[in-house]
Amino acid sequence: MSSLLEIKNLRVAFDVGPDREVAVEDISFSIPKQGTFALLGESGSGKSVTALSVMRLLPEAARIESGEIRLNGRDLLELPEVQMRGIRGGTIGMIFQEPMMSLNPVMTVGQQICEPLRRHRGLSRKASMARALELLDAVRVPEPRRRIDEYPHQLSGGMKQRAMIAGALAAEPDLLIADEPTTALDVTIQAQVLELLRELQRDLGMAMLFITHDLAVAKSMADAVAIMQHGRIVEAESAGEFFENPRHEYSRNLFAALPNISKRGLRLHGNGSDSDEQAVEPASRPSSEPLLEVEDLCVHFPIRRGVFRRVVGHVRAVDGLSFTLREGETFALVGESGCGKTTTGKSLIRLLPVTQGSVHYRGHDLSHCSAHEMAPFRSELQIVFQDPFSSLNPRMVIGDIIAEGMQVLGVAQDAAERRERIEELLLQVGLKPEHQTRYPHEFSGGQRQRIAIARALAVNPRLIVCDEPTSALDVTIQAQILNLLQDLQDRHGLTYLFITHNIAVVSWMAHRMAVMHEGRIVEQGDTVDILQNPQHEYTRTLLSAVPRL
Amino acid sequence: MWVVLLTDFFLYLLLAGVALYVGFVLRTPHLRHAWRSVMTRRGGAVSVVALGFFAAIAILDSVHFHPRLEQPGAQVEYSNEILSVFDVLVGPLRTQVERTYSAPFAYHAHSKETRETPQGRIRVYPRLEYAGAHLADPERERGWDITVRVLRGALLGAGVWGLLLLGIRLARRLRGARPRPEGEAAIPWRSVAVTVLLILMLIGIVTQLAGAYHVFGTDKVGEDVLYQTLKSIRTGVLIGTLTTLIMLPFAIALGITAGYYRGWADDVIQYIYITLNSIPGVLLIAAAILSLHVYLNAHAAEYASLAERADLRLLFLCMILGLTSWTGLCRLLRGESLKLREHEYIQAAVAFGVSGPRILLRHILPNVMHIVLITVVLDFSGLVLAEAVLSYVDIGVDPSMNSWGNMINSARLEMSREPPVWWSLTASFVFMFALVLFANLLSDAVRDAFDPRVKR
Repeated sequence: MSSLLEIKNLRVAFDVGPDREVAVEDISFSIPKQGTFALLGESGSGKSVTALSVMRLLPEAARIESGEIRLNGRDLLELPEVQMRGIRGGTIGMIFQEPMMSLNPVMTVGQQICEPLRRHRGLSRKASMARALELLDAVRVPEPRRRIDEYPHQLSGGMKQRAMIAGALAAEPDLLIADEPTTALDVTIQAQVLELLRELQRDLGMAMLFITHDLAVAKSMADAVAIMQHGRIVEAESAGEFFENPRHEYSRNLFAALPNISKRGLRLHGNGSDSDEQAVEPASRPSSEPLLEVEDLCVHFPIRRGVFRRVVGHVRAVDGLSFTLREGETFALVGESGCGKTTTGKSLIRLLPVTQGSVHYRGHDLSHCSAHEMAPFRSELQIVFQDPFSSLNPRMVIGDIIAEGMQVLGVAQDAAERRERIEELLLQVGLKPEHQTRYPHEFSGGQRQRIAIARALAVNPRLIVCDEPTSALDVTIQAQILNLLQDLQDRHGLTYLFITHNIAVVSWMAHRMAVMHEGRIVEQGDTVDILQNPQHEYTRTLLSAVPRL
Repeated sequence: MWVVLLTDFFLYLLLAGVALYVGFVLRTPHLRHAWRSVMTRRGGAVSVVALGFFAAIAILDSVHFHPRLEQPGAQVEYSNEILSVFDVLVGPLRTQVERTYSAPFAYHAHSKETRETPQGRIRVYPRLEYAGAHLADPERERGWDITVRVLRGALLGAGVWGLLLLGIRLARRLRGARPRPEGEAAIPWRSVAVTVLLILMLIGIVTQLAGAYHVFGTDKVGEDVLYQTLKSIRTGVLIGTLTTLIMLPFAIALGITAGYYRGWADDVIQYIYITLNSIPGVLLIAAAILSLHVYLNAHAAEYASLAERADLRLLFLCMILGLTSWTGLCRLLRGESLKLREHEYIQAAVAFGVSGPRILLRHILPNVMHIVLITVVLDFSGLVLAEAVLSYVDIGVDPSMNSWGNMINSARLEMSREPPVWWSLTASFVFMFALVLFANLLSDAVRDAFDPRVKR
C-alpha cells in the first residue's frame, strides 16, 4: 500500500517572548491512500499544530524546525508559496471545528463553495454553481436549490458543517484534514456528519486525517490511530489493535478516565492528583424527601418588533416542565443544544424570570418571589457553570472570588473566619491555601472549575445546579471533577441538578434523569432503566447516536 | 501671593488622581504587568519621557501668583498681573519684548523704518532692542556667536545628563540592583537615556540662545514666539486632559449602567446620546462660548483680571468639549457591558444575591477599564488638534490666551504679508506636532499592552 501523506520527524516550535517552546516533537506517521488516520489527544497535545503544519498554515510565531512532510512523494515544506496555494483546498481539503467561525458571514453558501471550484478546477461561474448544487446535494443538505443562495446565519450548526464539508470536497482532494469536525455539534448531528464523511470517503476514494479528542468518535472512523501527549506520539497502532488492547500507560489512563455505566459507583481514573483507585465508595443513597418540586414550569422569551418594541410572539424555551428533586440525589437533565435545559437550570435559581408554573423549594414557592424574598434562599441554591474561562472574574484574586458570596450572604462574618473557611474550601476541592492570592489566569481549566465549585460551596448550599460543568474539559480533567463532585455529595449530602448533553457522564453519575426535547421533558425516570430500556422515540434516537467504545 | 485659577485646581485634582492611580497600579499585579509592557516598547518608553517633559512645563505653568511690587514703603502691595512659576524661570523670554515682528535669530526688525539723520530721511532696518544687542558688528559676528552658544548649550546639556547618569549608577550600586521580575521583558533604558540626553541638550541650547536672540522670532507686538509656544503647551495639555476628566464620569456611569441593566435605563441613555450626537458639535460649542460671553459681560465686576476671564473660557471650552465627546466612549462601554453581563461570573454574582451597583463596581468596571484607558490616551491627541481648529474659527480659547490655535489663526494674516511672517505658524506647528506624535506613539503602546484582542 503506497502512502499518500508521510510525515517524518516533524518538529514545530513557537516563539514565546525570548524563549522557544516546542509544540510538536519528532512526529512521524503516514497515511495510505484512502486510509483514515486518527490523531487523538487532549487539548494542547499538538494535534492541530500537526494538521496546520501539513497545510503550512501555522501562526506567525510558530516555525517548523525540522522534519519533512511528503504528499505523494513531494516535500510540502520545500514548495514555494505559489504552488502551496494550489495544494491547499486543491489536493488537501480541510474542515475546521467551529462551523460558525469558518464560514464567511457576508458570502452566500454557494459563493463559498464556488470559490475553490473556480480557483482549483478552473470552472466558469455557471459550471461552478451547478457543481456546488451537486455537492450540497451530496452532503445531503435538504433543498440545496434554496440553501445555495442563503447566508451562513440562516443555516443550523449541522447544516453549516455540511456546507463546510461541501466546500472542502469541492476540488476533490486526495486528502481531507478534519480538525475536530463534530466537537461543536450535538450527538445526533454528529452521528449524521460522521456517517456522511465515511460515505464520501468511500465514494471519492480520499484519505482522511481525522483529529479528535473523543476516543469513541475515533473508533468509529479510523483505520489507524496515534495518541499524542505533550507534542509527542506516545502510541501508534492500527485501530482494531488499539481499542482492543492499548499498550501505553497514557492511553490506558484515557480509557480509565471515561465515565460509563459499568463504572457506576467506582472512582474514575483522573490522571495525577487523586489516583487512589482503591477508594471505591458506595453509590450515595438519596433520601426520598423531596427538596425541589417543579410543576408546569414555563419560561418564555418575548420577541419584540418595530419602533415600540411590541411583543409579537414568544420563544417557548421551556414549556411545561414537571419534575422533583430528592434530597441528596443527582438528577440529570439531558438534551441537545437549544432544548431549554440551561434555561431551566437558570430559572430554577431565578437567574431568569419564570413565566408560569411553580418551583417549590422545601415548601416555599420561589417562582414569583421578589429579589428580597429570594435572598434567604440564595445561599442554599447555587450554580456551577460550563465555561471555566468566563466563570471567574479575571480582575479578582481567588480569595476574593470565593469570599464574595460569603460577604453578601453573611455566611462567615469576620475576615479571619472567612479566610479560614476559604483555605478549608480550597483544600476540599484539591487546591492549595496559598492559591487564594492568585488571579484566575494562572490556573488551568480544571483548576478553574474547582475554584468555581469552591465558590458555590462557600455559602453552604443544599442544591447545586451543575450546568455542563465538564463539557469544556479534557477527559482526564473531567474525571477529576466528576470524582470531586461525587465526593462532595457524599460528604455534604448535596443535591445536584446535573445539566449535560453527555450521556456517558449521566450514565456514570446520575441517580435519575430526564430527557428534554424542544422545551419539554419527553421521558424521565431511573437512569439505568432509561438507558437500557428507552421508551420514547426521541430518547432512542439520542441514545443510538452516541458513539460507543 | 499665590493664586489658584479654576483650571489649575482641576489640574491639581487630575495630578492627585494620577498619583492615586499609580499607587493602585503598583499594588495590582495585572496592571503593573500591562504598564511595564508599555514601557518595554521603545516607542512607549520614549514617548513617556517626552510627554513627561511637556507635562512638566504645563505643571510649572499652572502654579500662579501675583508678583510683589517693588515699593519703597513698608506696605506690601501685589500687582494685578498673574504670573506663573514658568514665567519666572524663563525670565528674559517673557520680558525681552521688541517693538514688532522680527525673524528668528535676527538682529534687526522685519520691516524698514524711516529714520531722521543729518543727511535727511532714510529707510533702514532698525536694530532690535534685545536680540543681538551685545554684538558690535552683528553681520560678521553673529554666525560665530550662535555656533559657540549652541555648542556650549549642547555641552551643558550633555554634562547635566552625565551627572544624572552617574548619580543613578551610584544609587543603584549603593542600593543593589534589583533583579528583573521573571518573565518580563527589559525596559529599553538605552532609548530612554538617549531621549533624556536629547531633551537636556535642547534645553541647554535654548537657554544659551534665548537671552541673546529670539529663536523663533517675535510676533506683531514684539513678543517672543518661543515663549508663546511654550506657554501654549499648558493650554494644549489642559484641553487634552481636563476634557477627558469631565467626560469620564458621564461615559463610564451611563455606559455601564445602560449595558448592564438594559431595559428602560438603556433606552433613556441611548436616546440621550443619540440626540446629543446628532447636534453638530461645532454649533453646540459656538453657542456655549457665546452664552459665556454674555454671562461674562453681565458680571464683568466679578472677573476682574483678563487672565481669570480667559481661564474661565478655557474651562468652559473643556467642559463643552467633554459634554459633546462622552458619547463615543459611552457607546463602547455599553457594548462591552452588554457582552460582560452574559459572562458567567456576573451570573454567579447574581446567584449570590449581589446588588446591581455592587456588580457594576466590582465586576463590570474593572473589566472595562482597559477600554477607558485606551480611549483616553487616543482622545488626547484628537482634542489637542480640536483646540487648534476651534481657535482658528474663533470659538476656541480666549484670544488673549496663548494657544497653538490662536497662533495659527493669527498666522492667517501674517502669511499674506510680503515677505511672509512664517515663524509663528512654524513654531506652533512643530510643538503641536511633537506633542501629538508622542501622544499617538504612547496610545499605540497602551493599546498593544491593554487590548486583549492584540495579545497572542
